[in-house]
Amino acid sequence: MLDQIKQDFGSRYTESYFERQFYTRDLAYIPNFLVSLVAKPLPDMVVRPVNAEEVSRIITFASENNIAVTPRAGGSTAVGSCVPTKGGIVVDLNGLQGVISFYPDDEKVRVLPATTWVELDSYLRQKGYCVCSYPSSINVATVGGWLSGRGYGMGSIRFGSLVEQVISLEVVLPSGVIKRLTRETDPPLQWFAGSEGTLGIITEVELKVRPIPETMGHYLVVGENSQAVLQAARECVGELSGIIHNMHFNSRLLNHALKRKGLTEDKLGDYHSLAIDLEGSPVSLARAKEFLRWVVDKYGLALMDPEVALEEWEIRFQSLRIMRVYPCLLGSELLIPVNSFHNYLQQVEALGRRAGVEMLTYGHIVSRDLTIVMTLYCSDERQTWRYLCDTSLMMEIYRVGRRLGGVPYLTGFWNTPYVKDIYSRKKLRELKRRKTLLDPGGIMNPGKVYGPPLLLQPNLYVLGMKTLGLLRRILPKGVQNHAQQ
Amino acid sequence: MRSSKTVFHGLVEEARICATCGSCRSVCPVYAEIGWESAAPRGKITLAKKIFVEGKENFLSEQYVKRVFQCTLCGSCAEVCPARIDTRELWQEMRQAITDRGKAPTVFNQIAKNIHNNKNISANTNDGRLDWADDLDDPECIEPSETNEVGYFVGCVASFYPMVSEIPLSFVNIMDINNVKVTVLGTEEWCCGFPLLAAGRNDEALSLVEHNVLKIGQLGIKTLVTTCPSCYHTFSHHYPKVIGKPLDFEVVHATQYLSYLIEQGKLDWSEYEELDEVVTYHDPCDLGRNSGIYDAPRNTLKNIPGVTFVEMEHNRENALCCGGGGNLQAVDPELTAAIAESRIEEALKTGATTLVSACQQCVQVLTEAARRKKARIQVMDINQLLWMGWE
Repeated sequence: MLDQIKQDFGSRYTESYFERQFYTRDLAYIPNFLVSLVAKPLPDMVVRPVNAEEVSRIITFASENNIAVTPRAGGSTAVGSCVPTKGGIVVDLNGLQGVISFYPDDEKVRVLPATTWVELDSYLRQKGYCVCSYPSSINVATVGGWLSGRGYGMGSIRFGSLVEQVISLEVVLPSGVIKRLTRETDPPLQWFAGSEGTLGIITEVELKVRPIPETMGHYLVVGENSQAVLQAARECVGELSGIIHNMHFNSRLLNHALKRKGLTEDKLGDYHSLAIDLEGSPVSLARAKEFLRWVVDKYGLALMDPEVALEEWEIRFQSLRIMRVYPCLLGSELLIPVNSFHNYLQQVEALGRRAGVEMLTYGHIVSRDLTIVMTLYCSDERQTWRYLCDTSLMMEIYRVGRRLGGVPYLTGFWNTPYVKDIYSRKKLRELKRRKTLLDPGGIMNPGKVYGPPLLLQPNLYVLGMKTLGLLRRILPKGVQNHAQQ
Repeated sequence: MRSSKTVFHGLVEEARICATCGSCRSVCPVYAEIGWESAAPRGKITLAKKIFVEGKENFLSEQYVKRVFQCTLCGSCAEVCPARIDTRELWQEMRQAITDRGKAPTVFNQIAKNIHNNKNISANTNDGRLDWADDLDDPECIEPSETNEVGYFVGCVASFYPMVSEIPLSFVNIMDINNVKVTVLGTEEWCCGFPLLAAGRNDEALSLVEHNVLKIGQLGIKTLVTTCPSCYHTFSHHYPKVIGKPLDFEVVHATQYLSYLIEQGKLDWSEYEELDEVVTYHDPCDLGRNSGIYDAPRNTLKNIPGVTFVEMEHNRENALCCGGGGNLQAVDPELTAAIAESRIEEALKTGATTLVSACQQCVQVLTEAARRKKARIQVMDINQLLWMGWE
């Protein structure tokens, strides 16, 4: 059967080492020798199907031969969600791209899973419509990929996570069966949201879209006191959630680091900042502006010039420009309660001071209660041991977040040591039941979500990280990447 | 213009800055055709880190070199890079580093040899630089005279390849009929150097740069017009770096010059026979994304009597590449052809009768693609379209 697959897929099938090596990692850089202790990231083959039938044939072959299958599209996470742990087959889904059909009267669209959010939104905007929400990695993240994660991003305050906008899915189950799912089917489509490719492969998504908003308004609130800025944010979410499109916080340390390289307005460099992007009717935006002024006065904050606010909006997808300040960054992405954000910031920056690194934090407020927080710090991948020891701080950041009710944003492979924190015992039991039910052979994206491998068991993992943390204190200080300032 | 947003601090530094996020992959015309991660910009940079940052030369395989040179230098990747890496500069420096190691594709040896021997990219001697001008109504109109303020740098392709010689003919005829005096360098026009820069042979381009700057200065040219976007980009971006100071003359692309003449009321439309064309415009990468010139060609097109202008889905900074840039046609003509056919498909969706560009390479590549696809659309340069009403 493999011979038949090779023949049918032709140039869309490869066993070449040269091609396969690119599928052994995502955004996260982890030295090979360390990865090889816990996983086998090099796939044995990579195939690029172009339709659900081809996906089905690959999965049927894998299922019959008990071969691991790792689906991959944008490949833009940093927790190993799309990196093999047991070799096997990588199914590169980028051939399933594009809009299938658009129904303006019903405000919905059917789209292939590897369509990027920017392509979908551009397509819709030419017809007077747009997506409801999208990730900040809009240029690379795909519709299927984002749904397989938690699906929180810009627009989520108003429209919820992506799954709330999904009407139906077509999936290829681990048995190879192609099935259309709705909220009422068995299994329901919700099972696939956040499943990180462990239950099957999404081959089509039907989701709600909307007309382009009448007007947008961009505001940038700044202040020296992060508590005041974040209290203002909570007040705005409470009052304006119906018209908030995006709410993004940058810590003063982050703004200052960007300022040093001329990557943000000089004026922003000394403040914490909160970008608030509103959408709606001119009347509702005018009212919101009055409310914002009131909030700003109440908390002793300031509103930046409209041009600066507009510039921040226009560069909203360029968080990675911080790499120009520190070319090697480590960090943790957490989902924490909005109410805890200020305490988190205080504690994580204190952690940074003790560790001798700048902790650079930004956050997207994605609902009345939740913020996706990213905290980054510099390291140097050219000094392998120093780099490894620096990874110990990722656990310390996580521990700060956990104390305040936070969990890793995605589980993937590298956050499996925290899986019992991420899910309640009951929820985890339910997730494992679904996995066993749909994928009894365990071929779909093994090693992800449900639990860690032996060497990443929580006790061993904590011990390893703590050891690295101790080593970090005695190793010579690493080359500081901001030497190029 | 992209260059105002992007930064470049050398191959090693910029390769480290790349987070391999993959934003570049989504817009890469080469990746769109090949489909493997190795063909995506982030894939190329992933191995560049190993080779040029970590010094692991064993990763510099033949397959990798092939991938690095399978690139049109279109700059789409730089346009979307959230870390603001000027990837176009990065690719050129990678090519140079590979060439320095003696591992560049051998096809470039012939181009370099031609340029070295003939001062142009063709196999012909530079004596034939003005052969195209034999078809001018008044060949003497481009001879040097007392007023050489406006110079026309024709470029190698337009000078030596008959398939696109209508472009310089049209431009000069437009100037002549509107009493605008332009002068050419004739046999003293040497290749601008772009093919060598794109091949990673920066050092070999130096003598060409110095010669052209000297001869332009000797003629007293104050404004140099090019119909070739790559010549324009090389003169305006690379020449000042190479000679270490600003040029003594202004460099403009023909579309800018035409737009200027239209705005100044210096084109005489009284004898112009109105066209009847639905026109869409293909932004050449070196004119659009890499030089920031989007409005001048559109202003020109919209002012041509009888032209109905329509945009393609991907336009301006998001325009798809024609596939003919970055010496790709020399390295992998099939890949160039596939990319060009995708662009023709998009042009056909507009319902346009004519696909206009402002680049002889785009016109040549897209014309061939349209012919292969038996597409019912004519492809031409903006100067050819404009000249039609006076012809």
